[in-house]
Amino acid sequence: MLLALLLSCRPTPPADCPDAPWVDGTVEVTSALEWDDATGIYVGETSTFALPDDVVSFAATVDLPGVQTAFARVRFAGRTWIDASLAEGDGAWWSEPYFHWAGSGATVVAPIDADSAPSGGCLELQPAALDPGEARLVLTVRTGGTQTPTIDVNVVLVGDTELFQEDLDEAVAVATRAWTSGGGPSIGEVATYRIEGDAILDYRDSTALRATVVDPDREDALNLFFVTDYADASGTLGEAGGIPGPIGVQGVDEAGVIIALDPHRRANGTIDTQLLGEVVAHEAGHQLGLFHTTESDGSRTEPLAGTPACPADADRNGDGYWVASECVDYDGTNFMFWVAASFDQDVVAPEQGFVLARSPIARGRR
Amino acid sequence: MIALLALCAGAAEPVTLPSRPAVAPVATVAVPGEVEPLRALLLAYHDRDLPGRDAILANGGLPALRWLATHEDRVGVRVRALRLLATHGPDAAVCTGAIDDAHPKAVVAAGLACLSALPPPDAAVLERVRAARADADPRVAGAAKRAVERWR
Repeated sequence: MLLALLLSCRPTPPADCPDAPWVDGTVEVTSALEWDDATGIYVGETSTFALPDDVVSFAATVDLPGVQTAFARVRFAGRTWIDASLAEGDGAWWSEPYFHWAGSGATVVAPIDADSAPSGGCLELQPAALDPGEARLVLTVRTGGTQTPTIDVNVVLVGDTELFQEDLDEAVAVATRAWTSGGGPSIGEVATYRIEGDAILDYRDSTALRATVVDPDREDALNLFFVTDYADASGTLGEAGGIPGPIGVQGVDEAGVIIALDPHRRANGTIDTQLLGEVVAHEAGHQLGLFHTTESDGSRTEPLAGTPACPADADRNGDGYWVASECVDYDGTNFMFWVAASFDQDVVAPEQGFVLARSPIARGRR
Repeated sequence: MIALLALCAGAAEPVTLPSRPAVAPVATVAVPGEVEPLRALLLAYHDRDLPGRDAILANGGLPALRWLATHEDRVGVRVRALRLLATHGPDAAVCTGAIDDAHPKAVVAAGLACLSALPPPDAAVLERVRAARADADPRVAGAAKRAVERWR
């Protein structure tokens, strides 16, 4: 009787992939990458997974340390979203909505817009890279509720980088205020760590820094690595590990955001916490899958139809740069605009909030 | 790589952050109206979006860049102004002014990089640059070494 009851509770396997394993949480497979004439890159075997009916989102990462990785193929919800064998059109690299390309720790997230929300059924992932090797494919699937979402954060101070609690609290409040204004998540539990390393970071060491295993018990938290400054790129405010970057996994290339603190300081040494919070919200937005709403030259590489764009005639002084003040009536106040402003950038468009709230590392109530 | 990951695993130690000490407010110089457009460009989230020569000239030009490299309160903007000045029109007085020890280390390093785009300075400044090679801050020491190497 009990066995019959248990069997009746098991979900019916998707017809298209009856042997695929159900995933709710994180799974990892390895795959040997071999040259493929059709795509012109090294590809691994396609792995197929079954997504439960109450799936909210997933993130998948291909990791081959020090190598530019990618996805040769991604298919879910009855559609092929990425297909490296195509030169152009839907699914081709650098096509909407993913604008996918090769990079360290290549990652795909769904949803990345309102149309790419996953549904229960088959998920096919084919890892790839620009060099051969044994790649790790890590898949994190989120199920459950989407109400009042939160994202936990691991704040990691590198070397003797100095940050005061009040500065962190104020910056987190700024980032939360921005995200939640558009229905996005608030920042939940913030844990602070210190790791050995150079507080003045060589840019070439960024990828290795992000590959740090911060806390195996908090893999679903977003890693924010704080350094004093870049040694060879001083003035850089921060940098995400990709659009999107790896999330829900640690110990892989690009798994986190790096924030340089000195460029946020005033001449007297104090931190501009408004700017720091906006940079945290912005770079974390990239890591979670959001693009700039408008680029510096007024162009747009962004799949969210509901996000306002700054029009061509907004460049009033004709200098070829669409600054925030020129776009203030459109997306100049949006937290994903390309440049910070002398005013607060705390607007999140509804579709941006949709993507953030459904992030695989967000938690929400039903 | 597995060995590297093993080294990294468990290396992060939970810490409690110290409280912020009281800092006396410092009067800042108001940004002139003619400088504000260039300052707005130097607030780019990413370095690749910093303005090129034409955009600098269209937004106050070198005078605005020099003002930002000398008076800007926000360290990141001042550093960027010094870097752009080094590329597009280094000014000995502005670059030398930035290497004063009273400035944040990031500004001093950017000032040294700015100076290195010019011919060798006078003996007094040259001596300061040489001494900076031993600075404990790698940004300053590295910029000073590169400057001395360039003037050799």
